[in-house]
Amino acid sequence: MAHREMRRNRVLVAAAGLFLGLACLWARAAWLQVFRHSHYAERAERNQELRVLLEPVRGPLLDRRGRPLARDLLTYSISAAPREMKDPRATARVLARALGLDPARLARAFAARPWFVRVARRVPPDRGERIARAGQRGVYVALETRREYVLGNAAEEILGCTNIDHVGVEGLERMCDEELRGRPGWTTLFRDGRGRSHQLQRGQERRPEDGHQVVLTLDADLQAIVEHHLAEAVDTLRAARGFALFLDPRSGEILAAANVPHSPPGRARNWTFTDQFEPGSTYKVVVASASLEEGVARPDQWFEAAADGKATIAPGAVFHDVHKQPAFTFRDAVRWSSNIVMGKLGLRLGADRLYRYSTALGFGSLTGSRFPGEAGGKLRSPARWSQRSCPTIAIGQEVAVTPLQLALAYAAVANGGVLMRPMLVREIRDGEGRTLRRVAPEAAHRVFTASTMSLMREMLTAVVDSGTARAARVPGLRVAGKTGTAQKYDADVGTYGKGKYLSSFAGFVPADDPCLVGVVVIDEPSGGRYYGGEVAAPVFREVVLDVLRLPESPILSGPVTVAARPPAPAPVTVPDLRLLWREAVEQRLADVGLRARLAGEGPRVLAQEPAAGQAVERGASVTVWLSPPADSSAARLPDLAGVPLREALRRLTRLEVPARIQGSGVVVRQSPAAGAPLPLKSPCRLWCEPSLAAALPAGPAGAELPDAAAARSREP
Amino acid sequence: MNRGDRWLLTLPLVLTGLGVVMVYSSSTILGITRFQDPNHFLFKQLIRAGVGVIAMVACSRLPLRRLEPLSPWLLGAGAALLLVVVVIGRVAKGAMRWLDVGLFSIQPTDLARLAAVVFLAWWLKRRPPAELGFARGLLPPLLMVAGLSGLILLQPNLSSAVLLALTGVWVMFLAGVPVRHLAVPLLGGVAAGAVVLRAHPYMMERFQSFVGFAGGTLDARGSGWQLDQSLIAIGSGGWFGRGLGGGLQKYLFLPEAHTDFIYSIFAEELGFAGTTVLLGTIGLLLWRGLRAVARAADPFAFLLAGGLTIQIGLYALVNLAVATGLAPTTGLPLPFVSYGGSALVANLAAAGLLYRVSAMNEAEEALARRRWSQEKT
Repeated sequence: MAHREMRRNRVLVAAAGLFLGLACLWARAAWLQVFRHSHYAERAERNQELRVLLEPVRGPLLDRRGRPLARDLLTYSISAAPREMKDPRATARVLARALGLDPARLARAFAARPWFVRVARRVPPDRGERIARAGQRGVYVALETRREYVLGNAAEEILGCTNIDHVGVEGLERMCDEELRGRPGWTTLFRDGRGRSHQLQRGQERRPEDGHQVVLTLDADLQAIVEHHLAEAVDTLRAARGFALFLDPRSGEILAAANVPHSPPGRARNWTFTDQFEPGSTYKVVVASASLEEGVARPDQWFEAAADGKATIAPGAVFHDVHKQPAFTFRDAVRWSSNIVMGKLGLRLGADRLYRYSTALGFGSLTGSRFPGEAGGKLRSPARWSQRSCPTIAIGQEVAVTPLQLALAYAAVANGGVLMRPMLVREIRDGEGRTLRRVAPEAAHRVFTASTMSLMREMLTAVVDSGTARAARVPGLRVAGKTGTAQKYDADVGTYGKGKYLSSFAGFVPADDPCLVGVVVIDEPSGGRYYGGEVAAPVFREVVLDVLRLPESPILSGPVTVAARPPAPAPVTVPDLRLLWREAVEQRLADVGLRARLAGEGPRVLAQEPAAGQAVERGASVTVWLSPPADSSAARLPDLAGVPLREALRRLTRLEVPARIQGSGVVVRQSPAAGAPLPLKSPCRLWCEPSLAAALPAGPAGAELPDAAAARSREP
Repeated sequence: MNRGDRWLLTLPLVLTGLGVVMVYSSSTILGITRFQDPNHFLFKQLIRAGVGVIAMVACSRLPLRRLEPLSPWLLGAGAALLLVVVVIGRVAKGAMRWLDVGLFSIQPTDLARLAAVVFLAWWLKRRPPAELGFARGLLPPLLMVAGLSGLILLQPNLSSAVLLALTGVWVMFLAGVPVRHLAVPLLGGVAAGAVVLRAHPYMMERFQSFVGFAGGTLDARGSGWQLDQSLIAIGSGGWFGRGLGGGLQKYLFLPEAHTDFIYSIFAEELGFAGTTVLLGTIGLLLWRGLRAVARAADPFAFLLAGGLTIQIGLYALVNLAVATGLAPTTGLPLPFVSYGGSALVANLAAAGLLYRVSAMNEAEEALARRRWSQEKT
């Protein structure tokens, strides 16, 4: 029956069509779900996961006894979206009561701005948590971390600050940033198609690691005392500024570093580390100690001075004494701070020895404190001294020192002749307060013998007892020290200005077994008094008096034993290499025991690092940048085809040609063409293609590559 | 009354039950977001499933000779409803497809597609096109299908119109229309489809998006968003899926997750294994349906069963093809599974009719067997 047959066939065709479709769909599902599963699973994860950064708590800075100086405070910021509230007025009332705000004003703010109102910032944790728990609709509570400096302004220059991202940008915050920063964690929240996060955590997370606690060597009490007395002195003397640094001579631990006045946050610099000044007479401790050490002078040896207080001791060097006497014993010369005698001693010692002892005491080079922005002072090498330099440097002119260097030099006198490395950090603790690392005091090297130093301490004690620094006397305690009064070099006039002084005092207590070294500098005191003994020494005395009243006075605390390191190689001064020929540079550096590191190509030196005159350790390397080849005067665009993009940019930058880049890798085309006269009117356009090297025929890559690539690129 | 092929009742019920579960799984988040009630869609679907089961049982007991004379009236009712919806229908998602009837709303399209099959079977039985030629045999039913499709297009609802036309063409094919005659309506349909596509920019956009996807690029942020999210859902299911209820794409990533893209959530939660079972179930249902078709002696029953089976099959194929990116994105439900009342009731009713046809076949075959044995003895 043909009709029935036709029907059957047509049903079979329909069945074939439907089942073929199903088979296709099944294959498609297999492709998607089995073969492409990993691809889509990853896409799904990216789709649905919301990674949230969990901020770590920045570690606190603690003082030497564990009292916080800087710490993270958790606060809350509270904002509102009035549109989402059921009853903005009621919510405003509740919020206002919790935060102590004016309910009416808040309600008005809600009415005025229905989308977003910042209600309060820096809300204390307890209140913020209460508001968060209340869970009002339309009220958003966010954590906000704030860095709190417990001492306020005080110590801000040494502690530094953090920026808005909680990264230390200045001072100790920057120096210890790696320790303090911690490690952020993350967690994955689930996110829906509209980007809202859901509180079903998906298990994967990393807890944030809080920053380490850094125990500093600073003493909060001493810091406060120093700031107070320094501020008082600067105020009463109407001085431009003052700074003071106190440290423990036995360990090199810096106990207090104060600046007055405080600069606005962000512009604060720690002058005790970053500023260098001409020390004047306080520097005489170098020539005096060196003379004793070298046997150039004995304590009771007589030296001729001038009855009128004026003597020419070297060509062009006319020295004046404030305390006029025809002759001094060495002891008295120190006591009365005779410029003439000290200048003569400088001459007797000779330039080389004076320079050697100066650098050995750490002048002219960085102390190794790692404090950001620390200055190295200024001390030229004897080769560049004039005839009058030797006596002038002996009395503390023609050199520049930082308060830290000066304090460390006096610490060497106080502790028996060892130059200590300054310490700012005592200990690193983890977030829970367990000690991770203790920093041991470190001696740089021995400079003087102990016997010389005890003689020196005796003479410095006499300075305070009956010499220029009598204002630093403390009843019941033997104080040693030296005053300094420097006329300030006035850059405007080009000479030492009249009436502008920088007065300083450097000393230590107790003189027999010193445990506290202090440097006090008052810049530009006005009102007639300017001698260091009148201006700076009293500050030191007041500080010591207050320290003695402290329940746990550092002056009375027990001694710390220090392991001395073998002497380090004496520092050398970097010569001036600028404009020297390339060959001469290496010769010159080799002469003083330094190595050269050349940067760039060219015949002559353009710049150097470290700068000339800086003291560096022997064997260090000096980077010199060489000038571009002389043909740059032709000023034509070079052929950059085949040159790696980075190198091409470097060449263009040197010619001061701006570039516009397309692609990456190796330059294949440039516009305008090579040889175009400079300067160009428009930026040079570079077309680049990646990994041309791979497309090249086999051959040594490197030197031959650019040429081959260039040839290739010119073909089309 | 004879027993029919019980697969034709159980398989639709299995699929409907699966549909209720999947609707629940895929609509909770949407229910919370839109109605603050995770069970909103579940309860509605349960009620509709109940109505659908009643319709299925009723249809499975409706003698075909009673249904046959009702055919023109059914078609008239369907066409009238379509006209009404075009005039006063409710606009949703850019098209007028719903008609509010008291407590619930219905899509007349679903009634019309059912009525069209019944009518075609009735018409083609009385006027077999194979014998009457093109003009007298084929043209009248063609015009009827075109008119109905045109009414659906006015909503506008291109995909339903296309499927109705395709179903009609298949039924005519089964009725024995010469293949060369069918080329005319197919070409005409393609031309009409192109015109409609041009007239509606959003359709064009979807079509172009599909062409782009077939060419290897997908605008995942714009018009291709839905397809992209669907592929992510299906693909991330893997072999065994994330577990029933464990899908994540329903968290408002995948629009229409409980209706047109319910398969994506199903595949995400039950994996390739689940897909295989689902396709197997659908295939089994189609096979049992076609078996009933092939065994039907009466032309009306034959064409009715053929049209209904092919309709269910086409809806399933197109829906799955859309979800897997093999067809341009359109809004067609997966039969029995997707959320949506009218379609569920219509499909269950169709299943009931299929059962009726199979029961009739059994009765006739039993009769034939008895006759044969009587002749032998």
